[in-house]
Amino acid sequence: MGYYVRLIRLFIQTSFQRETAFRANFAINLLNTALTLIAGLAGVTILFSQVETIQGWTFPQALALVGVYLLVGALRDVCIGPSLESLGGLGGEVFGGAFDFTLLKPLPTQFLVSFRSWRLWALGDLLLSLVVLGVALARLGQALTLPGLAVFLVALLISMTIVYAVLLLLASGVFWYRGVPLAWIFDSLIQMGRYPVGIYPGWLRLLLTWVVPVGFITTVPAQALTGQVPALTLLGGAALAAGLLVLASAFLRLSLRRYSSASS
Amino acid sequence: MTLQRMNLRGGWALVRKSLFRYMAGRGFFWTLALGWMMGPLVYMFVWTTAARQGAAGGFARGDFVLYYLCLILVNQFTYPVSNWTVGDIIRVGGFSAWLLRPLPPIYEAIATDVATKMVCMPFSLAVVAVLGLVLRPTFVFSWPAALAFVLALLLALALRFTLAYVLALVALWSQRADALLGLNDTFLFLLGGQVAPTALLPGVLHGIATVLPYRYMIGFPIELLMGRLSRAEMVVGFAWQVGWLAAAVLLHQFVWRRGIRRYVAVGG
Repeated sequence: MGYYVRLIRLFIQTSFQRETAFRANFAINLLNTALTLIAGLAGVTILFSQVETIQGWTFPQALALVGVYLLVGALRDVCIGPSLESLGGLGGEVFGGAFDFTLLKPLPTQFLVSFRSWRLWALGDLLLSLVVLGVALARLGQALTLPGLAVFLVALLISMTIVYAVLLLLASGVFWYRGVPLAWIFDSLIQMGRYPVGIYPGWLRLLLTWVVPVGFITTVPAQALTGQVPALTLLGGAALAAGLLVLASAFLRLSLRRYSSASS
Repeated sequence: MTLQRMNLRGGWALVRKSLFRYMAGRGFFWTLALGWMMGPLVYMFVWTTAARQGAAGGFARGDFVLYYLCLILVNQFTYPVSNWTVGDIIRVGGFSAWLLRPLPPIYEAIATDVATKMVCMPFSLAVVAVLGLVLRPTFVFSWPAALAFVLALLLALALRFTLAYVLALVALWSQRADALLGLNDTFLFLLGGQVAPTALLPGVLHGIATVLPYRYMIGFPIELLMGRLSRAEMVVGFAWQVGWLAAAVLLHQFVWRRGIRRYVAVGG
């Protein structure tokens, strides 16, 4: 265990060195952060300029949901996103054959592909999302209790586990169809999580809770933070997350067998 | 005259080249198209839910469904993929090959766009048709509205493409145009009629949206089709649209003449 922690520290160090080599990117990333924030906030603000509540969600509650959406995005961008994305796409490891070297390393492949790249500027996004959450809580006039925080963290853990499992499933898909734009598919689907799943019609809501579990990714943590979330929902989410994790790991192992290198 | 004809033939050859290459990877392009329609779908559901609690800004449920189904198609039809590819190609140096062809490089960009649209549109049309059957939009057809829609749609296509192309050409100076293009996309999202029909934007934003070019790239044609504009609003809208298109074309001439002298090939 200590060995893996040391390795992760090493991964963080090398990623930091690689990132700081491209300083001009920093300004662009900063701009992107600002744009994501503006788009997220504007969507909710414009909606609530026309209505008082939507499906029982008030403005501060919807703001908290935006905060969770940004938080989940930032957490993904810090590590698992960049790590898994380097597998797929044109110029990715599987396409170019550099995956040979990843396979040869004396480490569990799943550990290596999941944690090797860190994008530290995403910590700025993380901070910003926490500010949004703080503002939302202040406007709700709700004090954050210790049990409340614990429930939120559990919901967030479930959410991130699901995000990881879904990303791993998509990343494994690269071994079956090399051109799959992995990040694009995930970004498209997660957009649904900008708003509470309750606003979608029944059939879509079921789909978004159990099949593409966007509901567990953003709605449930936001509910945990702003009000009540039934224990049964959390249990269901935990079971779903565990199931997806096992499935994704198994699918990765299956997919790895298909890898036949590239060029010579 | 002969030159013109040759250019058209050359342009069509470029379209066919891109089209065949894209058709081979149509799964990829359909995935892209799916991503492009996801945003409008989310906002369709948001606003129809809002409308079920009471009409929002004069839009009823069926109006929102129609608006956003049209938006998926208009957005797909006017979406300039070349704004990303041109910037990238300048950065990695592939632009040199474009310059060597006996056609202006803008033909390559147009060909990429036409081919992408030809690959993606059937997919988007099929999805929208299914959604239309399930969600039942309110639609009243009238010839004048349809004609105004087609005219505004073509102008929107030209305007959105030209502005994106000009922004991508900024890469001739700075190697990267991604930041500018990202900014452009955010403005389109906020003021083009995607996050909400521009008529529903609160106070100041509504005023800004009427003046800036973004509404005339996506939202304006749909408003015409739905017959939501008075005659005066229509005339003013077309005036803004044509004015912005002229401005964008002039800007293109200026940026192109200056930029091409700055181009330094990268890579080998």
